[in-house]
Amino acid sequence: LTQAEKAAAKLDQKELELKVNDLVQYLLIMDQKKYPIKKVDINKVVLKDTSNKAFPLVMKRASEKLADIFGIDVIELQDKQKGSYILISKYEIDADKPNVVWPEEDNTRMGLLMIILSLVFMNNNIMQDSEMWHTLKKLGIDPEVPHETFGDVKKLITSEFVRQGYLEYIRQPQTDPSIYDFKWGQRAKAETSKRNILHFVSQMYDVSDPQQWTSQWQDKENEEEMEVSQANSN
Amino acid sequence: MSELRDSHRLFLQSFMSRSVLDAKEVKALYKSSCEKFNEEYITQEDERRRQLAEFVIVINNSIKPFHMEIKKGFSEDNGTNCYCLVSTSDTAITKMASDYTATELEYFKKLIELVVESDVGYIGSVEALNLTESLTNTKKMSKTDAENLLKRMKADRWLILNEGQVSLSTRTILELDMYITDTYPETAKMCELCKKLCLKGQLCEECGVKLHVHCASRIFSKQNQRKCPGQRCNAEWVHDIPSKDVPGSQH
Amino acid sequence: GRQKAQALNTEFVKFQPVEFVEKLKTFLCGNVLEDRTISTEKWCSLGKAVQPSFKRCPPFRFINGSFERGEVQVRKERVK
Ligand SMILES: [Zn+2]
Ligand SMILES: [Zn+2]
Repeated sequence: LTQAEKAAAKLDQKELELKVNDLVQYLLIMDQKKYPIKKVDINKVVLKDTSNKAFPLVMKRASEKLADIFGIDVIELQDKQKGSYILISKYEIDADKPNVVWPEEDNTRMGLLMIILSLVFMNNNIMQDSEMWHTLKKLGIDPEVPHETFGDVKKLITSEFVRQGYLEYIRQPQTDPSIYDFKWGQRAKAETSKRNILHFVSQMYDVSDPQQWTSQWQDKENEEEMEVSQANSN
Repeated sequence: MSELRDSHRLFLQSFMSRSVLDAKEVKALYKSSCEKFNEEYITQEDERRRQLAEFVIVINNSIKPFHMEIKKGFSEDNGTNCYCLVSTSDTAITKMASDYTATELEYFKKLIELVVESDVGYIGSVEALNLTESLTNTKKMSKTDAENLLKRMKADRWLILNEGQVSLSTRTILELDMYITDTYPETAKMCELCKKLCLKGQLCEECGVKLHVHCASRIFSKQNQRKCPGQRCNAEWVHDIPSKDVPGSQH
Repeated sequence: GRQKAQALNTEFVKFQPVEFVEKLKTFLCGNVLEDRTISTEKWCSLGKAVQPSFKRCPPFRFINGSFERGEVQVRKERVK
């Protein structure tokens, strides 16, 4: 028995099952805001008095149920965000028959997000804030001016998208006034792919061959190779 | 591990993303979910209907442990059948839902109370906005806040705003019928025919019996002598009965 | 490392951010020169068009159980 299983064995089967079901419900509800869900909070709200050592097993079972019943994958974030979890659908929506539909506000925000992710990716996976704002101004987006559609658009981009895990907004060390860089966040990496972005950008340029962006194409190829080798090693 | 297939899972995700689906939309969703994964879709009407019912039962059995259910209801306005994915529990975990603030929910509760206490199942929008003055437990709310909230709750399909009237949507009635009948046992009326909660409907002034419009239509459409179906009432049923066949009211 | 440097060498189309957003604007607003503001509807349709690029999982939204019921006159447990 692993340590987690030993700890969980202190729960009887029925109790374990209830905790697993509570966790599934909790994860679905906490995903409403699309903020990563923290292990600390799961322990506090769902596992409560149960030994926290039961966490790995309860989480594993809950993930299996989410996958099996809802078609949803639970992904643990890495590095500094270890111990946080996001939910990702197993399915891509069909463009012509959208089975999954979103409220208007979600749609407008995803449009903006797609542009920012494209800019970052096409710019060698990093873009300095001044260049980002300069570029977005051409689309009528000014971080200092409330936007008709997005309201406080600076907050949306540098705080909401960051908190949801779509973007990283990192201050360059020893800069005064501060200079920030935009990068893809871990949710963006999990929900979309460099292939999708390259496809979108090619559409905008009306080019049939995305390989004309040689370095980005290579970057995308590398990403796909990594995925294949990861899948094989699992 | 389970009897669920990809089509079930996509169907369920679609229900999560869409608040209310009518019978036609459910059928279309079922078809496209099957087709996307190359699963068999029966075109023969009766058999397909049986399979779709079975399909939904399989999903409902699987999501029951999480207090979720795809529930069937109908519009009080026109009797069309609707399907919603609803939450069936009230626990510390469901309190973590974040779509509305405590103040907004307090306002919504007051609004429900007024709608239930009105005999007609709706209140005027001015009356709805004035409700902000009666909030006691929570932060104050301005009329503009209330106006925006009403609009948002309309977009989220919890409320119907129509020609200055505010009423509860099918989705709200499906989720909250137990809450409403438990909280207002004296004022909440049940339909004499279908025995379900009836907010908008036709009322007998003599005995207080209430009928949904489409339920009244089912009773009276072929009768010339219209009498109240209430026990020992027999009063004249004075309301207009829509003559046309009501879509989706067959069972 | 070396492979990447080579790739950069042979790159013959350099990505220009401003050029990209100009293309985008044309995609959204057409070729008209006057009114090129992107309305909420246009942002919305762009979003709809790109949603299939994301495996976003739809959130479960509900109202029952989200608020305190308060002083409920509890009746006996009803059988379903
Ligand atoms: Zn009825
Ligand atoms: Zn009567």
